[in-house]
Amino acid sequence: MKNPYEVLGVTPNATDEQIKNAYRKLAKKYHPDSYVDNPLSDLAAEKMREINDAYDKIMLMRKNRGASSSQFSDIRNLIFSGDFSRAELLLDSVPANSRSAEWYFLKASVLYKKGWFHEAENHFERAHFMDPQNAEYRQAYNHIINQASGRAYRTSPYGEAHCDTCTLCQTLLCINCLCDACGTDCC
Amino acid sequence: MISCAQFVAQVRKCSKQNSIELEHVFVFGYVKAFQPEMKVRELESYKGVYCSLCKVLGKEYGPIARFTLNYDFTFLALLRLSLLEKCYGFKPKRCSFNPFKKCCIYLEDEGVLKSVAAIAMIFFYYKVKDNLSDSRFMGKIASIMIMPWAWLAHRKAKKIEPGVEAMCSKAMSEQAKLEASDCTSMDKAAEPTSRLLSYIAGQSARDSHEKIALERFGYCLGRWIYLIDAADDIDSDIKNNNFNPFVSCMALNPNNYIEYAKHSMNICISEMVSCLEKIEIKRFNPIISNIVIYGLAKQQSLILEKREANEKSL
Repeated sequence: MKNPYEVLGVTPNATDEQIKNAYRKLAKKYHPDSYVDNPLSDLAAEKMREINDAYDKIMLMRKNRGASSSQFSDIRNLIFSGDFSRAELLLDSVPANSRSAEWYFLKASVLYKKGWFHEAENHFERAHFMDPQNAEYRQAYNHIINQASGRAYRTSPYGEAHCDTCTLCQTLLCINCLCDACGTDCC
Repeated sequence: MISCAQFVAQVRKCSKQNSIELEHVFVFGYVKAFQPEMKVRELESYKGVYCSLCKVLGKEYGPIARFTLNYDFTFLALLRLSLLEKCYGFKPKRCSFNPFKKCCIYLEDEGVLKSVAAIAMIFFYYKVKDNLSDSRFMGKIASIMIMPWAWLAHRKAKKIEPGVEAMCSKAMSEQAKLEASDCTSMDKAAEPTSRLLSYIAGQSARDSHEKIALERFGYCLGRWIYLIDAADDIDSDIKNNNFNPFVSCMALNPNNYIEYAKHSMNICISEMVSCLEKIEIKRFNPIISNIVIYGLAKQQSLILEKREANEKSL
């Protein structure tokens, strides 16, 4: 997952106005209308999608977060860039009485990345119950509950049979097997 | 005449009944395919890889090594072979144990099967070492008798897979330490096994993105194996006053641990499936997905519902 701030070329501490300006500048540069009949149109479209996703993500994060958590925006940035150990260190340094729903959500995200699913689930649950209106926390909690139910992997498209590149080998094996089944060994 | 796989299954069933696993690190027999959902050609490939591994074990470590073979290492071999660029194909040969039986051998020569065989020998050595501290006389005698051979095999295998050897040794000592300190965190208890399998899975990665996906896959598989073994052994652990994560970390007992066990193992399987979607698997895809989606779930339901696990012969 790419860091949305990096995609737009801004720092996590940029104001909303700065982010909007950065978005407009990039959107103007990569807009599909400028790439009609251009061999790079696919790349431009991909970049445009990335820019739109990054902008939406930042706006959603800021909307959900409210005013008071610049320390958590640093931690979110660390999580996005994959530096989970440092993110966890920073989270653990927050005193117990200042631990908001967002703290529990971010701690759960780090634990989930580590593979500590038991504690991650507990923290996602706490974040969700502390702030039931928050869509991000609810989505994360529902995701892990869905995984725990077994529904997530049973309906995976990965589970459907599809051709793979070794059908020739397997067909030869099958012929070998069938030869045995006929009682004669012609292979 | 029974097949070599049937004989091995019988021997293993007896040895599991006679030994106590003091640490839930080196445990085998849970990672297998669910054959009713396999196509015939997939089953033949699965058998072929099993037989190939058997041949390599026998060639590198002697005939006794063949008896250590299990489905878990067959899965590791499948996973590693699935990532190779080149497909080597199968060739019909004769079974070394039962000359009347034909088997198909995968002709890979990149050292993958040799690596998996070395890992199998390292695991076997640590398993025997663990069993040496078995308090039961019969268990101890069997381990004492096999130890010299296991030690020699381990010495050879260590040269092929020194990284795995170091990680196994580390996992054993970390597991012993946390069990001795009355660990109360489920996640911490599963960590040594998870990290060990994460390392082993990550070894076959061809680039950094694939390494992340493979390491996470291995981590979740290790965690799943740790949990299912703990679920399987809960009764004997309580009886012998051994560490069991469900009892020590969650204050559960044989009457109420099942829901939680299923819950935590399902998360592991879901994550494994997500990881596999990110890996470019070149062959044996349906077999690997059968094992992860159907096989593991089947083992889960067998163990948690305490039904007799009938080991189907290959």
